[in-house]
Amino acid sequence: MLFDYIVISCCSRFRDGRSISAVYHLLKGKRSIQTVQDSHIYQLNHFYGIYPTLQKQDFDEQIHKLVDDSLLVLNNDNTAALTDSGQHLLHRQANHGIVHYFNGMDYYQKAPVFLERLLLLIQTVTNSAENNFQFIPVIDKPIITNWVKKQYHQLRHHQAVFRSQLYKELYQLLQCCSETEANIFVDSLSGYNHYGMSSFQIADSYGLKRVDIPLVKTAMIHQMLSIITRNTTAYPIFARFFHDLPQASGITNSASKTKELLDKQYSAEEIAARRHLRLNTIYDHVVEIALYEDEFPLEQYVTTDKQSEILAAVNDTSSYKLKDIKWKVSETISYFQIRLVLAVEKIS
Amino acid sequence: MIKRKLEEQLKSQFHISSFRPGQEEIIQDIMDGHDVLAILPTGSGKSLCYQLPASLSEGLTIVVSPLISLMEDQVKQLKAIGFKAVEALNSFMDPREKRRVLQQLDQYKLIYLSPEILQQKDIIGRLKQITVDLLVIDEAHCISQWGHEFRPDYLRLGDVLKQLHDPAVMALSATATKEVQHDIIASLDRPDIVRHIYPMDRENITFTVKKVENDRQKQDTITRLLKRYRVPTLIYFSSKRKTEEVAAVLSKHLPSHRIAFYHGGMDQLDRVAIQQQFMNDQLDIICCTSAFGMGINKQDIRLVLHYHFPLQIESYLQEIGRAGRDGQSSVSLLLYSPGDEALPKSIIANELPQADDADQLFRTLYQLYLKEPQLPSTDKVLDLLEVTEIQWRFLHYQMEKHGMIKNNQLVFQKQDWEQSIREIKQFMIARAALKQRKLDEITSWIHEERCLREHLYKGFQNNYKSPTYACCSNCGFSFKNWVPEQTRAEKTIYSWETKLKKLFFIGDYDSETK
Repeated sequence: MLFDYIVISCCSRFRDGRSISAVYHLLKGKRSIQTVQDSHIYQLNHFYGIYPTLQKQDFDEQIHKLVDDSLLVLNNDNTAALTDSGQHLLHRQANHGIVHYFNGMDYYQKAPVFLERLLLLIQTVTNSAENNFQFIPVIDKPIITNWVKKQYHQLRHHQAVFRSQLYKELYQLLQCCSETEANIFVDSLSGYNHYGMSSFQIADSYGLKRVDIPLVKTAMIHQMLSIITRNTTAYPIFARFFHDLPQASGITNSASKTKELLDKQYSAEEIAARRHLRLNTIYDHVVEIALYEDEFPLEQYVTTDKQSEILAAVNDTSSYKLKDIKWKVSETISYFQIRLVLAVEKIS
Repeated sequence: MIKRKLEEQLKSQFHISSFRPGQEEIIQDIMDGHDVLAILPTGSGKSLCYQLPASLSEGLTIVVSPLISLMEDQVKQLKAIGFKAVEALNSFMDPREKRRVLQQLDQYKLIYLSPEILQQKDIIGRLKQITVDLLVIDEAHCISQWGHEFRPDYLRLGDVLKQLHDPAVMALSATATKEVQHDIIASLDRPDIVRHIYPMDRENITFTVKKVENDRQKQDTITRLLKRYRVPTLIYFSSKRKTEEVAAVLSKHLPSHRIAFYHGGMDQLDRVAIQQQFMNDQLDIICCTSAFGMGINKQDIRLVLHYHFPLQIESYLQEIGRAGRDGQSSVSLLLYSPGDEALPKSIIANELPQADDADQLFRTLYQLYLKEPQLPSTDKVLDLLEVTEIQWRFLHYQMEKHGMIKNNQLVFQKQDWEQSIREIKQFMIARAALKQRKLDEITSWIHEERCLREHLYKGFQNNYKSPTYACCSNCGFSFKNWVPEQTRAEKTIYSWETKLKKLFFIGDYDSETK
């Protein structure tokens, strides 16, 4: 249900402006300017990157189901429109509590790392409490195991205190969730001689759809992250989790190199020549930078007159399709300029 | 090597108190630098035979294994017991991770490799630079064209040995007929190899076959049986979809049992979770495909059921071999209903290109050659030829062998092609006939009216130990008289607060049940 609701609400925002694959890219958190810009323009930042493990095949399958259940109609150009029952579902579930936990744009990188650290740390401290150092770790990525090792090293002389504090903090956080959510979360934890439930098992035992389970966990992590951020003193152990979490710094490496050069007053053309990149690639970077900069010097690229012309065209077409907008404005205005205005205005 | 040193290492590194039959002799021979062919039944601890020498050795031991999930499990288990200088290399791994392992290769003692990755030039080149003490060939029967699981990549291992300056070899298998053993030795070109052949019969397992009318009756039989017995149970299927279906049906009818399914299509994390839950007695029943069980070392599996029968007796022996490793009475039940032959037949058809289609396949390849001798990507080839990946691997190898493909380029010489195509077609027919013969063997065993035990092992060894408990359903076994110890763990539902307390060992969680 959660997955359906999210897809439907994305489609209702996108209307006929974006194809159904834009929803897929948004949920996966694709690092492309197009997807990041979409998520800003259509005010879908909270759903950005909330389902990194989603497979295209599963996504397509779910979309087909939505179509079969007459909640969604796929148009010829692969855009999707809501049916009346789709609209109905959207309104009925608007207060679906868990949806409000999502804060994708801020947490899409942090959440998976946070969860994996937590899972492995719990497994480690509970096993070491029983002097068992021969367990199969639930997470075996070096980047996670190294972090847990470091923590374990620091705490090994006061393990019992650490364990009960970790318990206390997790207990407090879970109290902020619904009963079912807390149950699902606890069931997926592994400890001493105990292995947590797989997504399949959780779906079966709570009568949920498999595709929803990763979303439920992600939503809960987002909720936890925001509670901890608001009150770090109440969560001394979880506050440690924030150390060297990946920063949700918006722009890609390549774009930040372009930004350095822009700051040194190089023009886009000069940067393209210097970096042996296509001019359009540099334009992509500029749009990306504009998305994240609060004080982007838009006038350097688009005159105020042209800005108003573009904005008028946007209102007119009430669409964010670049083609439609381009068609409405004077020929001297480029696609790049339209995208830049959309990015800066973060129009919705 | 002094015996005491081996035993010390067994205790300190592997936390095992004593060797199982065969292990010590094999390890001794390896430590003395001999080549070894070891045929040991499933569950007898084959892997220890190279893991222990590897842990004591200065140089590197490499293990060729066809099963990626098995490699990953073994690496995890070894790391868990503190043997850290271990890694697995396969073609699915992250390229950066692969580079890192290759760069630090000299710091490892044991590396698992898939056979196809061992064909890659950079890997061989890197291995040549360091000392490889021992090359282990797991599932060595894959080398034989007369084995049930022939893998073309395995045939190139003889050549790999030469390139690596002839290290010692250990060939391991749980199932190899005399014919296959002979093939292994010939293809490795090591006639002086020391042979350790152990009988594979299991005296504590009772064999039963039950014939029913249809699927429905299979499910009813299983439900009735498992209502009476709550014991660690595996149910084998040949179809992934069916494992999920039947697991759902059983969960409905057996609410007090803890049931899960397992197959190769699940992601790594879920697979590990199910395996470990079963090991920790958190699950009673697993509906699985043959992907489950390799490398699993649970001692008290009491029942192994077959919902579908495997393609050959070798696989059946491997699967039932997971039962009763603790020596207690355990039962194998194979369910058969008329028409069950269709599924294994279609699996076989999927593995091999049909000889009838061969002319068409080669015509398409010739067209391709006329346009461009360079072979396109595998995906494109599969599309173009309308074959499965396994079928293409087979074809590709055969064409390479006959010089029709060199360096991924098609090579055309009219006379040679015609001759080669004739030979490849003959080989396809022979392979299909072999598979069919294997299938006939197991179906005729299912329909055997005399002693099942006697006829099960006759292809592999001349006699067998007399059974400790009941022999088989043809020798008068009835479930009425079977009383294994039952699992008692309660399936209680706790609140999440209690579950969390239990997990963290906090205070008074025992008092509350909900």
